[in-house]
Amino acid sequence: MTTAATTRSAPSHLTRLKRRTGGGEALVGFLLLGMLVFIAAGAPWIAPHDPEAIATGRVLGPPDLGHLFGSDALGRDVFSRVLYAFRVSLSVAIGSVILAALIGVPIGLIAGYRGGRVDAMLMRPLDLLLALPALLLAIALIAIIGPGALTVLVAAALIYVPILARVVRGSVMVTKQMPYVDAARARGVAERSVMIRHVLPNSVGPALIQGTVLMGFAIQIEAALSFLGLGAQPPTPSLGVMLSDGRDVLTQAPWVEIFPGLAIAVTVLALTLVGDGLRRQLDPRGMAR
Amino acid sequence: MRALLATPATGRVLDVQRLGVRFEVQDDVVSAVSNVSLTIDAGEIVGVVGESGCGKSTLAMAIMGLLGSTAHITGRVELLGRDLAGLTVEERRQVRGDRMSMIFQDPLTSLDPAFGVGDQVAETIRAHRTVTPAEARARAIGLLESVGIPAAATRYSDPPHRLSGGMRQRVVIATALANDPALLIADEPSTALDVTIQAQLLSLLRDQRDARGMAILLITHDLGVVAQLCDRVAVMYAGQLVETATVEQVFRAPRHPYTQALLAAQPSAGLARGSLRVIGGQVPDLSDPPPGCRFAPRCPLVRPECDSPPELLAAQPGHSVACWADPATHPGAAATASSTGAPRGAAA
Amino acid sequence: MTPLLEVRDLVKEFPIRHSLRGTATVVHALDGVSLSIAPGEAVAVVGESGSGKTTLARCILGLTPPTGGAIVLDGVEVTRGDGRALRAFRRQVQPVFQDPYASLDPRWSVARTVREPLDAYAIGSVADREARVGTLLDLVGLTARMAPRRPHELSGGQRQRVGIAAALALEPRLIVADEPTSALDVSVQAQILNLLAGLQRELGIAILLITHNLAVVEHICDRALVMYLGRLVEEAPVPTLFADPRHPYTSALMAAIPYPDPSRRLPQTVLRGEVPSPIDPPPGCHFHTRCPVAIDICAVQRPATTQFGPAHRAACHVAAVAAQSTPSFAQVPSVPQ
Repeated sequence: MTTAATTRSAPSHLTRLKRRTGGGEALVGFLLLGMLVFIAAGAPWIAPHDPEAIATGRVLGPPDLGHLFGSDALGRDVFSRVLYAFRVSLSVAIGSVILAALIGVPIGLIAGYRGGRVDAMLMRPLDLLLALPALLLAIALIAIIGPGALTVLVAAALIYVPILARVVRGSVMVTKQMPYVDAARARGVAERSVMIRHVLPNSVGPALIQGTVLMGFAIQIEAALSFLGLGAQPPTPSLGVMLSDGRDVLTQAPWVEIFPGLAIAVTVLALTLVGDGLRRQLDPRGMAR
Repeated sequence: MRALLATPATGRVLDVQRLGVRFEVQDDVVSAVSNVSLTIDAGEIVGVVGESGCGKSTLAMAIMGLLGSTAHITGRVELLGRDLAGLTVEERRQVRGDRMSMIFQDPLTSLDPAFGVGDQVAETIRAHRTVTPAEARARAIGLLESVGIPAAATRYSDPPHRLSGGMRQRVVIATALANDPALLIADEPSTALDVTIQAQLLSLLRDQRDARGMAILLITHDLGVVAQLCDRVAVMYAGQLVETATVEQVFRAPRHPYTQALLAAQPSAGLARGSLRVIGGQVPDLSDPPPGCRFAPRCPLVRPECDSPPELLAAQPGHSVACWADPATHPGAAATASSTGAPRGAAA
Repeated sequence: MTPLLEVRDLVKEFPIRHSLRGTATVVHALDGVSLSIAPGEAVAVVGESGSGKTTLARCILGLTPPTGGAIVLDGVEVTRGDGRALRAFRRQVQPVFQDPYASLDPRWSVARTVREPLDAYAIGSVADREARVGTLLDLVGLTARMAPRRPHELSGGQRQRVGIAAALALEPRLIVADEPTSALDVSVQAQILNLLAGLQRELGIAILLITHNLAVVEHICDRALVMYLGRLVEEAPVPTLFADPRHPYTSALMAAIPYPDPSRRLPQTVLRGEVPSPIDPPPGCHFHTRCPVAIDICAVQRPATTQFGPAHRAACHVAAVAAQSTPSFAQVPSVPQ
């Protein structure tokens, strides 16, 4: 039964913004993420130095005005490298999830809606994929295709397809029971339309949230693989590569390691906050009204 | 624990004085209950009736002390003469389930799906009495039988989902009555049940009241249930109490315009076929309620005085009403439609 | 006059697989239900949980295919209709659902929801459809201001009106309303019931009203059918059903209605026991385990349908016997003394 209480006061702009993004923390997350994407996109214009320019005179130089994050073992400007590395890492993170969604969401939708044999046929191969350890799968793929950022993207996408499919499938199985789905069917709407126009938009929420979590993981997968030398190949900077490079000189020039590490942490934090906000935004709207 | 609140055989069990409940929801303050006073004596069944959003469930939760920290409660609630607000948290816990208990609408979610129904009754017993597990079990079986569950010993370990809705609600009642409370609060106990099962349940509640002499506060939206079970009735609208009376008085001669309209809107079998009376307008927004009588915007008898809250005054012995237009409580007020009467028939 | 809708011996069974036990059991949701609805008639199907009334509605709406029996619309069988026949059928038979909070897509505006059936059948131009949406909203008592709103901005009663407007869009000849007012406040129920009754009168639409609330039946319906555990137990014009119920379950159902009238108290025992499981229903007459007047044959043989009046039938051994033995019928006692 509905409650009579509905808010009617005029909230401040900040409050409204907070509500639409699902809370104060999520707003911070969104802003942060936006900033990071902006930085990544604008790296060529923002970076003060060429990320690959070797300057033997500045080897392991500490941070100063010209080199905000200092210089690494080859005298390269860490700040510029971090900026460019963001491009690679964010592209892999966002790209892998988008690719996984393009494949996984339709599979989950059809499997969840049709059920029965179609469901079994679609989900079994994905279950198989899920059963394989992610990192091993990635390494196997790299062995076949060869190392590089793009391979990492594909590998992560492959790992994510079954996860997203499963999330969507679960959500669809709940949504398809809703009376408004029956109503559309009974009103003569074709099944395909019902699936795409009613079931999909109402089931995609949990997948969105899961997507942000997976993006956070992707950053870390990329970093891990690059750390092992299997990801982005030199001289292309990636956050993982930089972590790997910085390890050797940790005691002499900690800034070479710290700043890329911080960059990873900040990105994952931003993604997590956005994910939390999305969850809060999507859940209460259904329940509180 | 027993000494905390001894049950008198007769006398006042519950005394609610000017209870108000306000919630803070984001930027707004919702006035869910406003200035509600009522009393229940031992052996009485009092019904609080109203439509959704009228605050009756909030009232019940406030009396039980189950509202969270977002709720600000004003006024006084006395159980067996003792002010509940004056108790410590631990004392309140001791009172709940022992001196007063509550049952809710959905029996499925009121019971823990993970363990047996008998154990849940026994749990309530052991929470308030020092007994051996064997004694608790024996008492639980006895209680289950007394609420009409056949072969209670065999069904003791059944998880709730093995029982039908009606059976589950009986188990819930058994847990509520386990420690012989002075007051039972029942929030829509039969709303989710089939009508024949509802009839059984109402019978059960009446029988238990007769056997134990406890007071029952029944929250419901169903006037039929009220007529069947209650001795006295309190009608709520938008957080305010608009009328209290014996059940005969309310149904024979309702005084408040809302009560009258509510009765006229009931589709009761036996009435001539045709249009049901409707109440025009909508329930007010409780974050910004009308300053006085909250029914005023929809009331056919509205007048300027309605801008200040009417007091609940006795029109006859046992029959009180909060209405400026009532001639018995406000002599000189003509109970006719004023020129500023609210429009009827607008879609809700 | 050919009936608008005929349901003949409808059977619906749902298999349940017990993965642990490995056996397959069956829920007998509908066990041979027959009924007919004349054009423009308002018929109620009354029953409690497990009666099968919702399954019946879903079969009629084409949402669930029946296991056996036939559904006939205007003399044409549509039971296992394939795409084309089903589509044509759906134009004639439209639903109104119980839960106003879940029967509208939360992301769609009111206008879009009401327009959807028109879009699905590509009726008229887009402009025509928009105009029709306006007319429909008007018909159900909503203003044009509601058109762009989303469901969460509307009250329960308003949402239900939107559902009715969408149901009217294709100008159906039958509306199947499954508990349309159960989730609403009493005062709002009154409005929706009045609306449905008005639409039936003005537009000549037949209504099949599924409900558990007998009191509601009297306000709209001409005839009522009572169901118990998948079977039809009694059928009669509404006044007759209330004045002269023949089946003990019907009597019990009516005796159980809590009247808002303190002088009409419920009898101490209305009906004992619980509804049996539809997986393993009692043999013979399903009601015999709870029936206050059951005789030996009731446990063995399914009662045949006896005619008690021009439109009054019931399936009860005891009632059949009573009607035969006394020329002026004696009412079967509904409650043991």
